[in-house]
Amino acid sequence: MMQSPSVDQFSYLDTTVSRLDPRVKTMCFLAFILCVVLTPPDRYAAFFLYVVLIFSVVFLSELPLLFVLKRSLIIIPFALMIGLFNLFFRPFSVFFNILAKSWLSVLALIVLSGTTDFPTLLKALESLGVPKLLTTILSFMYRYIFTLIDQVAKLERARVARSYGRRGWSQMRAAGNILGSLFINTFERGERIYQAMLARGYHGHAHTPRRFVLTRTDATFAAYFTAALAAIVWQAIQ
Amino acid sequence: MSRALPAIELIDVGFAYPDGRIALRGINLTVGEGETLVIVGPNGAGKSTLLLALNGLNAPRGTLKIAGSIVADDNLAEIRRAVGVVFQDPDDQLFMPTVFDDVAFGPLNMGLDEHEIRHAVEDALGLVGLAGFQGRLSHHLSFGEKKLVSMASVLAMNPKVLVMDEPTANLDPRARRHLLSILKELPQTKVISTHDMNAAYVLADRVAVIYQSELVAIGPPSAILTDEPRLLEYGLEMPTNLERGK
Repeated sequence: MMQSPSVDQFSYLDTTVSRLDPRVKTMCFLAFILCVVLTPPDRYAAFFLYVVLIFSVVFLSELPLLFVLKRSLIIIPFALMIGLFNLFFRPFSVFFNILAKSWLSVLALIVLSGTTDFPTLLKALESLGVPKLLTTILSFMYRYIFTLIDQVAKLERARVARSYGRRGWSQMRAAGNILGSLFINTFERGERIYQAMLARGYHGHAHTPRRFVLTRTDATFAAYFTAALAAIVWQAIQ
Repeated sequence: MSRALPAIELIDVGFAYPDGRIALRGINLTVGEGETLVIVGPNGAGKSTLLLALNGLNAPRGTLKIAGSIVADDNLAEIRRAVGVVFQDPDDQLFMPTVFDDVAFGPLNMGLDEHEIRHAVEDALGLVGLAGFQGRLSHHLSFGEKKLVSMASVLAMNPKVLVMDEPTANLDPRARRHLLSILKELPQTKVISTHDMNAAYVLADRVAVIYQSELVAIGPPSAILTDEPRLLEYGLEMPTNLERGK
């Protein structure tokens, strides 16, 4: 058994948010991110309301709060670096602005990916017009990233087993070889996968059946969410 | 078993890799409809090359006929619909994120409509004893399950010929027995390559031995797999259950 993926580890939860049409979710959260990014930096009240809005969705989604918070921290180092740099010659509101906007955007993405399993998300993106080539690449990545990690772990174990406790610089050569053999393995696997695809009648474009049906819940969620968003934006423009 | 129209016919088939290394030489072989032919031979003898050729995945010299039609570039779609290949490593075969998408991949390429596809997927998973696995993620399956899903992904296309490379490799005893019992039930013409001599003995109507790129022996398992001196000469061995009975 391979380790479980972390990108959509809570997608098995059956909640109002996870049942929503993934297209609706994607559009709502994209709109959210767009509004957040376009809000002027000094509208502190608006940012507070955004936080309230996104956390009410988190609450609805039943995602563990600690998981959401922990995961959202991932953006902080990047945002902090840019923010601190700006602090030298721009007002504090810019610093706050960078941190708040990136954190809110990441929160929206966490709720989206946390409540939608990755294959469904890809299909939603596809039906929203993201090029097939792009979603196919992402789907292969999702399928094979753990196979690849497993392979790295095996090669690394084999190296450790024969390196008699030696570490550091002397092992760089081995690391290079591991990288090389990983590349060749991956390349060859790619060839074999392509053969397996051809054997099952692949002729240039993969089809997947998709069937998303908009329900009343979708409409209600979209209506409330956009209304709340509109209210916040209106408040900010005033 | 009707031998009226052979399911597979190979006439003087040969194959050389681009670097000049010869993988197959002068293979003449006929497989009857519904027959199970098991191919045995040491590593590198040319078994896998032969299996790939049956699906038009490499272009050998000589003539290769599937159900009477010669494999050529212009009928590859037809050939690939008629011949399903189950590869050795299920991680190569299961390339879609979910089991449903994987099993549906072939039927989708065949242009079936959504209703037919759902049925084909359901039937195929049922055949391998994995009904209800549609929503599972491929990389979360156990090795045995992956192997069965690989089979389902091919069975969903309803092929006339089933080609399998090392179906029992790396399976634990229970999964291996399960797989063998499924294979015995399937009505298709089967061409199976294996190192598992016991499986060969159980499955085969006929056994073909490939050694150093050539077909050196073919016949019923009771004749081929009991001839210990010749098997040892070809780098093979007798099925253990026969050895014990000696």
